Amino acid sequence: MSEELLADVFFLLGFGVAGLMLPMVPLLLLRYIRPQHPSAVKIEPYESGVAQTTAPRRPFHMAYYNFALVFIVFEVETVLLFAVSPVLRDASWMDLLKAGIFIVLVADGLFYAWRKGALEWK
Amino acid sequence: MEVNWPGWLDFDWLDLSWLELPWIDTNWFHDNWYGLLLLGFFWGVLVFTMVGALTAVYVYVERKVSARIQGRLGPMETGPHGLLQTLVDVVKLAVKEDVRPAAADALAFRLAPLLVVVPAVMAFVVVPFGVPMVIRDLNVGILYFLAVPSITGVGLLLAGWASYDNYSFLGGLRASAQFISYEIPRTLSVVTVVMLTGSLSSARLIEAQADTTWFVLLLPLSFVIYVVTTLAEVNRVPFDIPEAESELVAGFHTEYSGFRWSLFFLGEYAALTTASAFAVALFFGGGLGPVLPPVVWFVLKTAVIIFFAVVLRFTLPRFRQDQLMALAWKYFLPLSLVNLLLAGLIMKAVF
Repeated sequence: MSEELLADVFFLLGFGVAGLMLPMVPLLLLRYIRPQHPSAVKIEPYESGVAQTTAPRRPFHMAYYNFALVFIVFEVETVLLFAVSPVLRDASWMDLLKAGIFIVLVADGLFYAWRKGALEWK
Repeated sequence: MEVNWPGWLDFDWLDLSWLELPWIDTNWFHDNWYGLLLLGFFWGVLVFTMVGALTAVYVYVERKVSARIQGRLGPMETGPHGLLQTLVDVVKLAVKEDVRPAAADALAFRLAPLLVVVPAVMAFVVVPFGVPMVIRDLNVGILYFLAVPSITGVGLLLAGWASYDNYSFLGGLRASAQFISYEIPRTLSVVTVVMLTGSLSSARLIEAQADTTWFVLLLPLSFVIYVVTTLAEVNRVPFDIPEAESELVAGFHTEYSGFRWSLFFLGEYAALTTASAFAVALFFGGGLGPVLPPVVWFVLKTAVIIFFAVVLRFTLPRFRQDQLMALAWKYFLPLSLVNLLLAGLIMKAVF
């Protein structure tokens, strides 16, 4: 790891620690001020006034899973584009064409997922 | 690059020598890892306090704007024109009972608000406030800006799951599904800007626009994609289906109350601020502008974009879940791929 990168990491670490502390410290201190009277009814899950009929730990809509899978594929491809994009400005037409071919391949992947019905909310 | 601003703004923010404290060796902060840690901590405290204060202002503005649009007066009783209302609300939230459902996962329930608020505020590190003024100019600043606030998506899902509540669960699922769907077109629209900038540093971003012109003129399509997908990312109307109050009560934060609930609010507004600030940096030349100092320009431009988002909230109806996903995957994703190819041609034409 280069020295510069390490410096950035330490700076961000300090920033993050401050970020965690600023909400957490009031949360801990306010415990001594705020009322805390839990009752059996109060700590029930909210279900518009009736007792919870179905537990929320149950199978959910399949489409979420489909979209998550497609997301991972495209996100990885996007990250690859980030590695290429800063140098494209001074690249030749030939290099630009290569990047363009990559994008067409990504579009092809999207087309495939589309035709397979992965993008349908059924 | 020709930029002029008053002398008092012409200093390196990170180099603390402008404090002119003879007993502090400013190099110390950059030479040691603990110095850097302390410097980061110092900035963290400063930025978080600022965001907290800003959120109070937003809440007031939002209530007043909504009141105007809906033909009401809004808060009027506390202070002149209800100016002190948010302050009183903060006190109320702070001393309110913190109810945690018995069935909730204790650790995840406590962790989720932090996961929402901390990454959203950490994005401030790379926001270019002035022309070269960045809290820390990371060499992967733009990637950092896209990557770190994305952790919020995990926080939303965790909040929904941990609450052990049907409304929360559905809200959390919807929130994360929406978050990941709009992530890709948004990232791709930023990639086009990176192509024109030739760097991932957010300070370079402003310099590149000083050399050419505002990128909104070169990449109007990228700007449209960025704005719409960003509205979805920060769960603003018309994309606020994760917390659609008419069907899901309050979505993923149904079970949260008091101070923990306000953390979600803080995170949402922090995300809106950083996203708007970055929209200005990416497409409107950041602090570039005549006469006024860059910081003033930057704040003005950002305020306009935030105001736009606030007005939009009380103007548009809400999307349905299937429409929302179809819009992201069948319209914005193909559009942003075409936009990438288009941006390549524009880039060749300009440089």
